[in-house]
Amino acid sequence: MDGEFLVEETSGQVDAIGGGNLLILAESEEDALNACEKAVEAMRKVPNVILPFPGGVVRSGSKVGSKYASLGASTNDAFCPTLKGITKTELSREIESVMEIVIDGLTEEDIKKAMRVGVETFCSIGAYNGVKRISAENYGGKLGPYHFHLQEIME
Amino acid sequence: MSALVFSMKHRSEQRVDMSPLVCNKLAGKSPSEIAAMLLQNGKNSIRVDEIFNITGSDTQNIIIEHSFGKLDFIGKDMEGGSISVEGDCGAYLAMGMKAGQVKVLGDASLFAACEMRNGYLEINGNAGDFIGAALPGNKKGMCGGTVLVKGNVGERAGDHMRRGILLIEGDAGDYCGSRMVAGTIAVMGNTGKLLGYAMRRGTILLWKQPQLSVTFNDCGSHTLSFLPVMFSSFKNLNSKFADNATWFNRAQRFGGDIAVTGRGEVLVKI
Repeated sequence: MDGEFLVEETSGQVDAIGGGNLLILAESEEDALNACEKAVEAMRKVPNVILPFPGGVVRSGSKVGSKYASLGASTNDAFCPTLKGITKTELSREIESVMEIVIDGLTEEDIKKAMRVGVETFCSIGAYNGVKRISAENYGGKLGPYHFHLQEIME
Repeated sequence: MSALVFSMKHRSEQRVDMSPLVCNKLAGKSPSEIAAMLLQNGKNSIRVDEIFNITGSDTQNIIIEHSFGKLDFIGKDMEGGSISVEGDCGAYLAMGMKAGQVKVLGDASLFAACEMRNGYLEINGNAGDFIGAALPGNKKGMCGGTVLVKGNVGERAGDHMRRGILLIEGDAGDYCGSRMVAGTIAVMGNTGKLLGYAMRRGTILLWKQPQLSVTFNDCGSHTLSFLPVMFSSFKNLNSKFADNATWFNRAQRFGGDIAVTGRGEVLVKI
């Protein structure tokens, strides 16, 4: 409808790693989004990584697997604030919002660098501004062979 | 064309089945044909003009004057048009209604909006037990539409409710939202015991703190962005629900009833 369609004629392809992630647990949606936007801004400066979701932030996170055989992903109930009372939750009472930043990178090291920048940004914002916890998920190893352990990344 | 008015001549000793007097069943009939129609009155059948004076001719706009609590099945299976009831009405008001609107100035008795499918029902007084419920033995209660009650409702409001919106400005009795499968019930007043008993899914929205059973778990306080969107859909109603001073987006969420599937929710204004 715009009048023209402009696209690159050729594009390259290379094996890479997808699905690195950071979870930010905050006291309110506003605090979580504010922290994520600052972290995304810093992480996008790291070379060889992309944050594939719009704005770099995932509001409605999913987990690997579901109770249905044909459904490969379902609600990440352990980190869903509104389901705290009726599921095996990972959240404490004061957490009202959880957002996720997903990172795809060319190498494991590239993803680790981006995650480190993200964690440092979250820490600089601090608990006084509503950022209560930082976490990540590998869904019991089901997400793939690459595991990113936050404490190792920050050493 | 003026509204078709049924004005009650005298109060019958027995209950009257009003289900033939709905807009879709009267369409195309002359006043004399309508007058000759038969209504079940206790164990007898009586002509419409034996108990009603009939004026007007617009069958899509019906007014029932001097109504009282023994006129059952008003608006049953209605498929369009409007019915205004000036007074009280009996049981099974707007039962199975598919479209159109029914407005009652007084009270309604048991099973109002029972198994209602769509349309709009407004009750300016109180409503009895089982509003929006399923008939005994049936599995699906109200399946769509909007019901507004300006007074109080009895027990088991929304029992087996499947879809639609039940808005109650006053209080609700015990077992409100029992066995609810889905849909929304909003209560501005107090609620009774065992709210949401065995509810599987659906939302019960409350302005006052309820007495919840132990099978509802606290899921914490939340700012919910869907609430203002839902409230704004009520702004054209002639109701307290249309007043944005009553709207809120901050609620305490309780999940349950975990004695069954437990995907229902009770949201309480903070």
